[in-house]
Amino acid sequence: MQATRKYLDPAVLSKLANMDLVARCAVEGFFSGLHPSPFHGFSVEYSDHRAYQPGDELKFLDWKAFGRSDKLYIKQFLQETNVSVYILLDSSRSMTFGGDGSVSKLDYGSFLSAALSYLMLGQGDAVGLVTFAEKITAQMPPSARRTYLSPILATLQNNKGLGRTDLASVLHSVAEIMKRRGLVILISDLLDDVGGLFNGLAHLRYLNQDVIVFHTLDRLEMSLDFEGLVEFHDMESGRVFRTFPQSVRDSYQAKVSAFIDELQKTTGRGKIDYCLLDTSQPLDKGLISYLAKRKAMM
Amino acid sequence: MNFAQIIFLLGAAAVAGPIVAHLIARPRYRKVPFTMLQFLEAGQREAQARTRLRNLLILLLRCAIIALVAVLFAGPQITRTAEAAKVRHAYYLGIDNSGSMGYSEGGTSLWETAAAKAHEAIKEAPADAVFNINALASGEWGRGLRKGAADLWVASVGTVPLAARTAEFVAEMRSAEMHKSPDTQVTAAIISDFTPAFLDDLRATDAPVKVDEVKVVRAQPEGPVRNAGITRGAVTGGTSTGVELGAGVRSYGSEGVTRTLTARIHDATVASANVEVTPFAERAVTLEVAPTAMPAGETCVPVELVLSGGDGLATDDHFYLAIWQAQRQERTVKIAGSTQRERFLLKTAIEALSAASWFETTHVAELSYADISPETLKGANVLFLAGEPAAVGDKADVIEAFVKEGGRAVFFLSTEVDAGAIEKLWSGGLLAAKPRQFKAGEARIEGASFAAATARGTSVDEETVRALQNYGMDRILLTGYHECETAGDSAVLWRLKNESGFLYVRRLGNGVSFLVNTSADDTLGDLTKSPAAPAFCRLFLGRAAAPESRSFHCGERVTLAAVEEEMQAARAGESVWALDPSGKSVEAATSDGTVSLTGVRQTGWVKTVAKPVRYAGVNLPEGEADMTKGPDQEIAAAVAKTILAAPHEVEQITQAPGGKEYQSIWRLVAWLVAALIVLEAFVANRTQR
Repeated sequence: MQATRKYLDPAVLSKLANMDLVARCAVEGFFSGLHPSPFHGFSVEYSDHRAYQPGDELKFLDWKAFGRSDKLYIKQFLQETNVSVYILLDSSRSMTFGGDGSVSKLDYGSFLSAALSYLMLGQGDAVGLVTFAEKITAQMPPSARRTYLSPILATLQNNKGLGRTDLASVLHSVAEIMKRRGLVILISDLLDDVGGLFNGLAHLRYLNQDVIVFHTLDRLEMSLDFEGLVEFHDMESGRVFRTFPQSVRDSYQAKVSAFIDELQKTTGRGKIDYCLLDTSQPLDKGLISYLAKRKAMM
Repeated sequence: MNFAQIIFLLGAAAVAGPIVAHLIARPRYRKVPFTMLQFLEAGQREAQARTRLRNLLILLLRCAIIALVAVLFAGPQITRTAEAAKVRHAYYLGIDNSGSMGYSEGGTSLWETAAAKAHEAIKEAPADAVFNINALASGEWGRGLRKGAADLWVASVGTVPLAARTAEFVAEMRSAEMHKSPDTQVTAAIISDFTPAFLDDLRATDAPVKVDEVKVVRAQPEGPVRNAGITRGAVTGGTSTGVELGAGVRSYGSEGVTRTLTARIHDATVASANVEVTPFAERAVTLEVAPTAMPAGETCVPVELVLSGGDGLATDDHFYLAIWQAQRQERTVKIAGSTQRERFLLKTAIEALSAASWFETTHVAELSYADISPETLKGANVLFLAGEPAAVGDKADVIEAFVKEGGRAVFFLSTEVDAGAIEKLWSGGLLAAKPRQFKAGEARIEGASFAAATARGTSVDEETVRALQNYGMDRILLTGYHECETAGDSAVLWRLKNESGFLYVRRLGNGVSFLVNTSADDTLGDLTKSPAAPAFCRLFLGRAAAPESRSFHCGERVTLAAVEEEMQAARAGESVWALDPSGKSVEAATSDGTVSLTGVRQTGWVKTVAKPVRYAGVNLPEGEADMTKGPDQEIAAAVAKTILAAPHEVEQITQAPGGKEYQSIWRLVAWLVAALIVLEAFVANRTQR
């Protein structure tokens, strides 16, 4: 299990050149390390039997087979879907921050997008991808074709972090182009005007879209664990700020916590799933959030 | 404030260093691309006020440290008015109020002289002086006294019949020396008659305590010492004519004296003797107290020895002791021997012994070896066997039974011993040593080789042994001895000079078996005309019943044998009471069958409250009556062993114009620097975040 879990580690995934491989490793690694049954298939068309394992839902037990053989079997089903998923990946310059030479937030978001795409397409969901900064830089409409994974991964591979963030306008734009009810996955550091962000998300919710927000942050962004005198350069605006981080660390951490709290509360009120992701942590937290949401939509 | 080396104050300019460094230094910032500057800016605004205060505080502290270091090097001095600059004075007066200070001369006692000198010393001391006065014998303290109170304290003290001790006085000064402030000047004064005993106490101090000034004030007799006293008193024996009291009378002066020593029981004179004592010499005096003079029915009798005539010190003219009367003892001795001559020597010696003691009667009976039987030994305490012919071997069982029941058997080895008899006695465990071969030739007893520790449990009287050593046992020439093999549980009490055993002992059952490695002829033959022969026999008869005396010195723990009533009270947790020499009831401690009292500070008798009344005499400590005046150098050397004059390095006080004085305060500044360094580290670390 430990061997397969390493494929969820962003540091390991960053060493893989091929995005397809990244997606496969992440998802396979995720499922290998996961309990066998909870997230397996949501379809209604029978595909196979397998032996019952503790933890399996009893409703899937094949009682007839039990009557015949005195053995417990679980019925497995082929997946069917009618869910369109939009993955919105923030590709602004701030997303390229990766403290301590670790994986940048953009890379982390890309890995997560690739893994989600692989997972969704594998389950028959339609996946679309939108990359954006101040405005949408790439847009791929949802499709459930398995072959659709390659162009998605290619887009992710070629995606570069440029420009400033304008979440509000992007979210409004996406809301306009979504034709039917689906799932919107926003992967961003959310470093933008919070009011605009909430308006954009509210717009999506108004259109009955289910929304998951993956808030990606670097460990250093949360801890401000810098030593000595530091001249900070804002990656988007170019502003310069000199300080002695030790002296402002406590205040800074308090502000960041307050920001995250506000996000959690506001998204919670709007029935939006919020998931804070530390880019030094494995991808499984994001995948579990998605699967939980997906199951809830069934 | 003034500075000894004002040039060093230029060092304070270094304060500018941190400030200039701060102003001209260009801090090196590490450039880091970052994202969340809005939070940083908000955090900075909040932390800025706190940081500024911290930085300012640290800067001030560091500047103060640098400035104070410069001040420290410059030698800071404070200016004080002459009044304020006065050094404080602490006086430690050790006044000897021991028994010897009761010596009177021309109607004035040494104590009165000492007190007058103490008042004089107090008067001469500076007005601000603080006195700590110790009565060296009684151990009383008057601490932190100003002049008036010190005078009153000295007037309230009197002499006690105890020896003066300086240990506590020195310990207090040592403690004060360690804790005193730098501007305190300590003066120590000892006022005493400096008797030899007190000088010995002074010399016994491990290391002297150092004070600024030492004063030796002598309160000694002006003229020649006129004192004679009783140095000791004890029961030295019980004879047919009564109890023998031994006393020592000594003249401590250069004049010979003739006095009368009287023994008194319950205020009645029971014996007396005239004593002529030569100057600086001690005379031993023996007083015979007739048995009829001893109170009947009293186990313990208080006896007071009184020396007539007056002299300087009255306390040592009385000596108190208690006599424990011995119970009369009867003893039966059987003497077995082949010849009349062998038996005669032993019989003569034992009869002489019996005649010498009023407290014991010894019945002597002679036996032939063939007559030895349980019947003839019935009631006997000691059996002497002058030789070991075959006939003795036949009686081995009888003798063994006699010893096992508590009897004492004494075997003398004649030149020729019967091997069969020896084997029988040896196999029965009767003999303490087995003779193997007779060695003819001259042999002498090792005079001082008696193994006293081995003799314990055999009732061998150690005083008898000492007497024998005094008689010169080593002068007895033996005509031969046996090479002996000792048993595992036997021991050699006395050896010959050639390391062979002379007197062997072995315990068997409840009794004891002795073996003398020579014939009765050899030993007693030589001793028969001297008191050594009875003493030698006394060795085998067991400890003599004799009266004992009991006396203690003041300050000693006084112990008395407890009676059952007292032991029961102690077990029940109740108090046991005794009366001290002043007649005051004092609670006594009880343990190990004794009642004991500590801290008795008066001469006389301590006696129990419970009946029968038991007494113990309490007397002046040894050496306390010796008023011999030592030379000045000897006194000074002895005092220097205890208290040494070593003026301490007081803060240098220099005279300034206008009646003002400067005093260095470098210690204060050093402490301040140290405190600021600690504070700076604290502020820098604790306010970091």
